[in-house]
Amino acid sequence: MMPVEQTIHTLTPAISIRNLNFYYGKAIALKNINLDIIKGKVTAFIGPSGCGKSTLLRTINRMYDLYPGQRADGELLVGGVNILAKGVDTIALRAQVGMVFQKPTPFPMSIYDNIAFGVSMHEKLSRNQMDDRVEWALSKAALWDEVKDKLNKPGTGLSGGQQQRLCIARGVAVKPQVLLLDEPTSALDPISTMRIEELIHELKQEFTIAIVTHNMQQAARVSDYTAYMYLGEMVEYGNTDEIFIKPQDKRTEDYITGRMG
Amino acid sequence: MNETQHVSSQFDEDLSLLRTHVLQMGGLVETQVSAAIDAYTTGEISSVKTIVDTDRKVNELEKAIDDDCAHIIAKRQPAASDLRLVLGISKIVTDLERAGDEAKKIAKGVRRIYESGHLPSQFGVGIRHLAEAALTMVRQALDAFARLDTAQATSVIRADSDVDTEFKSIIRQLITHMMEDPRTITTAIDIISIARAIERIGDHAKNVSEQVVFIVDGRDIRHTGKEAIK
Repeated sequence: MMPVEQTIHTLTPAISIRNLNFYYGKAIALKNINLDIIKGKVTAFIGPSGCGKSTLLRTINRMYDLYPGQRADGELLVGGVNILAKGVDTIALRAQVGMVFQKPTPFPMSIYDNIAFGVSMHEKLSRNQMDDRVEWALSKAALWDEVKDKLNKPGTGLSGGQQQRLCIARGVAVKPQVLLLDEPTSALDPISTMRIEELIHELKQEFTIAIVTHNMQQAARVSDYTAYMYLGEMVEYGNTDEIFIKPQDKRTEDYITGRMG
Repeated sequence: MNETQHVSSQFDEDLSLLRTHVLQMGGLVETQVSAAIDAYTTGEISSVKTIVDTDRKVNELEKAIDDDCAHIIAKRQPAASDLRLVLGISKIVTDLERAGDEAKKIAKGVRRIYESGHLPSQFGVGIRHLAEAALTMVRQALDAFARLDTAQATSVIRADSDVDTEFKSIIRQLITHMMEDPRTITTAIDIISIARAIERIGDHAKNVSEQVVFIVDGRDIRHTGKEAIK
């Protein structure tokens, strides 16, 4: 198998990260990150708590803007545009780069409106078109069959696994290029987890996916590429198959084999 | 190979026990091979029974180790070097068990020869030398596994072609004997099967060594030819 540095450059990046630093006030949380997230593939970010993987994910759709004192420098290119630059429309950016969080976060509204709400912010659709979009998004998230008869019921009434799929449906409804999943299954039971993993596999046909997970087996199962981060640095980035059988860096090896003290 | 301890000390113990069992099994196989060679040279066919009995223990250990491997995979989901160790071991035990079978074959062949009133030494061929070389390969392969020493493993892999060459030369000599004197055919065939078994033991030692390289470096050097072996 070729080293990833060689193979990755031949593929199209959906996101290119160059010399990215991130600060929480004075504390530096990401140090000089360089990485391409490949289009139409699943990239997993693994590493111990506090290593910066969620921070990196939050940087990609400028979620950190909502918090004073947090800032990033370097370049983060989404579709060729540096989204860290001033004057970037973050609302439009977040339509391009959707995000799903650890805990399901359905809006306190009906299942239908959970999907339609975001769409209506970006597009003017007729009632029929919106109906189609809601069905499309829920089908993409493998939830349609379970909820088609109760679209007017509150989203919060669904099970945890269903709520998480609802959030994924909400994310895909605006047809983003990239979906960011921040530990999407850590609050779910094994069967719901499997459903989400299956879903990730389906979704990568159409979307680029970046997933942060603490479950190493999950990273091995769902991703094409894996990045191991430690103390704000990108330690190793490579083909998932290679990382889990023959990692190059001893720190990666120690982490994935459970040797971190 | 990663010598840093796991966060789970139980996992460390499981792996260390697994390695110990492989070495125990290897020790038994080594004894079998060595005893079979002694029986060949000395005609002490009473040891044949011991060799056959040991084979039962070897078989039991093979099953037990495979079972341990399955449990470790199910419980610990080993990755990277741990995964390679478990996979490598499950292959190594197959080769060790087969090497034990070959030792048993040698022992039984020796018994047939002596019981028919012949002396294998009358053929004057280099069986003893071939056997010593194969036994050394087994010892060194186990040593390479115990110390996870790829240099040692590589030297075992290289030694295998010498054993193969020697085996072929023995076969040629035996064919000559048989052509010269057809009365030697029965014994010669037994000796051929013994030589064959010894040569196979060398192959198994080589396979074990290839797994050691895989465990340590993550390189799969099976069926790759000499160039790939550093």
